[in-house]
Amino acid sequence: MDMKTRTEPPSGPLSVEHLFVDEPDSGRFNVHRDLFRDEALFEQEMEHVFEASWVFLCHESQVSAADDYLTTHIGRQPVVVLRNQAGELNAFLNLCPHRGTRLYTARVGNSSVQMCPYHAWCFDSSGNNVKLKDQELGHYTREFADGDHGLIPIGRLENYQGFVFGALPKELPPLVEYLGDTRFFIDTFAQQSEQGMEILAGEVSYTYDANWKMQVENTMDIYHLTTVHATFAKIVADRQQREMAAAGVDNVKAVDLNSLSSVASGTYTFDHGHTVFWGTDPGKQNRALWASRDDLIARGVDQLTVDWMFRPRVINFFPNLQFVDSASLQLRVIRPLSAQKTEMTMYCLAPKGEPKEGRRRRLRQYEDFYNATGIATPDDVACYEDIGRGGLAASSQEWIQGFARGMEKVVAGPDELASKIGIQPLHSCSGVQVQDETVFRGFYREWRRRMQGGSQ
Amino acid sequence: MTSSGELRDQVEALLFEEAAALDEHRWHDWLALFTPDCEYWVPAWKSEFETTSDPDDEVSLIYYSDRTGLEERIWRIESAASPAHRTRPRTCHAVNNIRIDADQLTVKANWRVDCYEEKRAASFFGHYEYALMREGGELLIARKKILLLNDSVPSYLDIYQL
Repeated sequence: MDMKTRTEPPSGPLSVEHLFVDEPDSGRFNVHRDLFRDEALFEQEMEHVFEASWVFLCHESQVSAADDYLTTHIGRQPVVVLRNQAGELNAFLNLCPHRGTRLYTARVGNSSVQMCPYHAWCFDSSGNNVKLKDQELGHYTREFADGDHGLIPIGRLENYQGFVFGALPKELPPLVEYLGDTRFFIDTFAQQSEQGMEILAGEVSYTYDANWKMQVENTMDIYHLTTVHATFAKIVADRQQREMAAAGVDNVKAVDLNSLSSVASGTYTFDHGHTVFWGTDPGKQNRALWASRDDLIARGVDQLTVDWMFRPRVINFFPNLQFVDSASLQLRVIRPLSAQKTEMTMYCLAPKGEPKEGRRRRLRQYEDFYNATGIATPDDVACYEDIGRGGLAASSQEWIQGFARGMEKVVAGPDELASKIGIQPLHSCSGVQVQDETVFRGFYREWRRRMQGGSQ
Repeated sequence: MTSSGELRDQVEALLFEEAAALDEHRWHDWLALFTPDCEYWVPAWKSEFETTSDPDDEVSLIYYSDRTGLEERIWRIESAASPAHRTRPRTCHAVNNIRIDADQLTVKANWRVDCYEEKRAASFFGHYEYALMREGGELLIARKKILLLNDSVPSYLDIYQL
């Protein structure tokens, strides 16, 4: 049968035990440097982690109208998300089933009928084949004529609060089960406007020469803030001083990393490899959302959720999405390209109908810190790449010392704040200036489980 | 009254000095070519051929409504405390296809910056749009808009690569 998609079974579970030290009783934990540099391991993690998992595809505001489409990837597989005439979202492999020609070429677009440029097979926005050129002249077999020549659907597509996730396999737990208790934190990103959230125009992408897991670690890593972002912190302090001295106007009112580093913060590890960082922002009145806080309560968003909207926080969705609210709200989508090359796509997420002044401030704070052109993110990227030129280039070096902070502080289960929220993390670590590193363990343990063939 | 030939000479002198100041790390000479309330804008792209057009409602790569942001970047470059500036590329600016609107005192040009760092070359290219003003006899930059055509940036970039 010519429509069979795979002729060989997927490769079996891997032994990755030798790449880990994990002795919970003694507190010893480490991951081997090969996780960041081994190309064979990279191909295996594409198959066992990215292509076997729920992954983030897009926000529904990016495909809001009938016939809108967005092209993306699940692991190495090109994917198109389509909204059909009935308003339903579907996702397919972005290729013509005839010869495999890429169909949708733009990043985003609108197309009621998409014609393959090679032999003119045509597909509607539900993925149906609506024209097979010269079919009646083609002397096809009966079996072919009766077959399905539509786009090849991915296994699963689900939407949680506007965030659209997909997976190649069919057999996976429901998305809400996969998200688990991280939903409390995602809600603090999703419920900021009665009209919903939107991705603002101006998608930004960049690549860096280092492994994708560097990005996962760095976004949970509070320990680096006061060194890597020292110039950002000084610039922010100087703006505050100029404004106080009436010698200038602070156009940005950016997050103050120095004060943020000296107040309570913590981390949570959840099932499925998701992790959360939270902090305390002494300057929360400078957030773009601050002017809307009374409206949030008035329309019935619960007080606890609103309080958490004003905490700096990061959710690492395993494996490819980071919800970040520190300098400004940002969605970071991770696309691994090779063991030592990664593409980041960054979105500015904002409440629809936001007051003009809040929107302006949100954008200035966003551009100030983030992206390859900001004045903070480049310093993170430089450090990832310096690890490549240092410890990863030194093939004699197998282990690091990077999972030790917080080990005498971390507790199994919820801490006081988690209990107040009513969530059940696997581990909690909170305090002042702990700048915890134990949170990475949960991510790597899930990575190991998946690589060994563990399902979600 | 400035003749069109004289104006062209003055505009070219300004644009070429701006490029040279960046290539030669004369950061403060570069800053002095901008008015204190200058607008400096690098829009982001929203589709294959369309950039963002409203910096107060859409994302920009860089947007400053006055010179302070540029001064902060220069301080950061000179500080020796930014990991992204521990090494810096050698850069070579080329500015060409200069079109001048003498009535509006606006200028369009094409640009390319070749960069070389750690034995690897990269280049960035696009279009400039300037609004100029006269102060005394001198031309200064009151507004600069930079279209970066290859916006999927390898690693990161700063003002000396634009």
